[in-house]
Amino acid sequence: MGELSKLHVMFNQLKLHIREGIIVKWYLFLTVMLVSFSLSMVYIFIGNSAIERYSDTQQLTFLNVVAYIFRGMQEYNPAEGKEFIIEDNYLIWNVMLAIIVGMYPLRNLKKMGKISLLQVKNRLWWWLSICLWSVVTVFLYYVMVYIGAFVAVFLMTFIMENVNVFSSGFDIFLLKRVFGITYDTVPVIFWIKIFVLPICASLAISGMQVALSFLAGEAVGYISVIAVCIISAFSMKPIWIGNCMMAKRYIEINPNGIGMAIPIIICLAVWIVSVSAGYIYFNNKDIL
Amino acid sequence: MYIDLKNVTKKLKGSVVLDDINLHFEGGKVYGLKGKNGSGKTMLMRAICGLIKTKGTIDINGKILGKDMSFPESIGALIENPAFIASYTGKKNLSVLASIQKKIGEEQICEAIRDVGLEPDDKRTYRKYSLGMKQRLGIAAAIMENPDIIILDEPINALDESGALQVREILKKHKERGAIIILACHDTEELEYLSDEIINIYEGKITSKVS
Repeated sequence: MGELSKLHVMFNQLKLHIREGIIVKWYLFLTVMLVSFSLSMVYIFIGNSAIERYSDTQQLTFLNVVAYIFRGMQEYNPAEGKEFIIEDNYLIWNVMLAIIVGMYPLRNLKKMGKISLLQVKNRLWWWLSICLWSVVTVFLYYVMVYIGAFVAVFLMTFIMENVNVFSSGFDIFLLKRVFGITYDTVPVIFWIKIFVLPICASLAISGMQVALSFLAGEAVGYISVIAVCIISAFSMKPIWIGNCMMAKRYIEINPNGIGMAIPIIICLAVWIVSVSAGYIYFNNKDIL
Repeated sequence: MYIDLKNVTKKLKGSVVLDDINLHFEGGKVYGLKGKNGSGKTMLMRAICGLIKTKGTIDINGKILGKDMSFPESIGALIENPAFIASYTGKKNLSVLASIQKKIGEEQICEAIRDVGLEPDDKRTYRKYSLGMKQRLGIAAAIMENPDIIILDEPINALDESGALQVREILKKHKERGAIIILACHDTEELEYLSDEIINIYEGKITSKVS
């Protein structure tokens, strides 16, 4: 069998993973959308009442809601002597994705995956197909988050006069309140980062979780995600990729915060190392 | 078609589960693995499937497993309890599996389903199948592509008398076309009836071969 036809087999296996791990588990993605919708609604009510009380010039938009969803936490400084508390608005997105990603690959290999592996007849292609499944899962996860937020803003556009889904801009007054900034504008790069960096971080964290699940078990995969999230909340160094999911730690908001290029390179490196190390292990793994 | 095992040894967590196995399998024959629980029957089947890494060599038609290929080029296996997508029908489950290699079409899938005594147009999903029906679907998945090697671990588990008779027919059909069939079964009488050669395994070692 030529290499090209093997690649075709890998994509066929990927389609099967998408059926088993995404389409059949549609209710998990629906839950993500509902959580996003609910949190967006909460913010819309908070934002609307703030606009009514303090401002009459701007409107709450889809961008405001996205910024709220991925606002994350302020930098933690132990020298200030404050208690270290991880905010749930940051953890929830990581935990939900970790549950979706953690539930499938290893369990599949113990069930139908054994038969499909014999069909694929190549450990590398099977492994790559499972890694690509995690990539598809992450993208779909974010699509669901955005749909939930969009639907909330869309519905409220017709109910509250301060909400406008049709605006491509954002309300700087609300942005100032969420991020605690004093200046009257934020650069476009901030919005690019808010849409790109969380996805990059999730791709890297999910890749790591899949590799560690195979290497040391499903529980270790979950623990690793939580560990990365906690350490990232504690330290604002870009090496801790959880910072990518916290807009309050972007350099446009916090002068000591993270930029764009280095975090993306780190996320890419984490993903490549995870996929490679996972394959080396999987290639020698006994499938019992 | 042949499979040649030379000095195949496997250790798991410090204990030897396959101990210096030397066996030769020929096409057109049914081989029955006999031994008590934990004797190494399933482990031997996994080794031939390429699912576990072993010491020694497994030569399949001149190609060494784990060196020239990761898995046998033409194999169908039912190892332990079969598992499929619960919300799909039996036919849809086999269709999605067959879509990986795209070697066979709907007609062959339906034929395999009928061979094991199921109905291709049955609208019930896999989660509503009885244990026996699940077992039958597992056998259908193993034979649907007419592979050169068929591995069946406890194929008559949970099957009624008619199911066991259908398994006999299936083995006869695939044996006649030259496939190597390796099976394990706790029913000694049935195993002896089905097999051309019985291989006795005890604590990972081959103790005897009876034709």
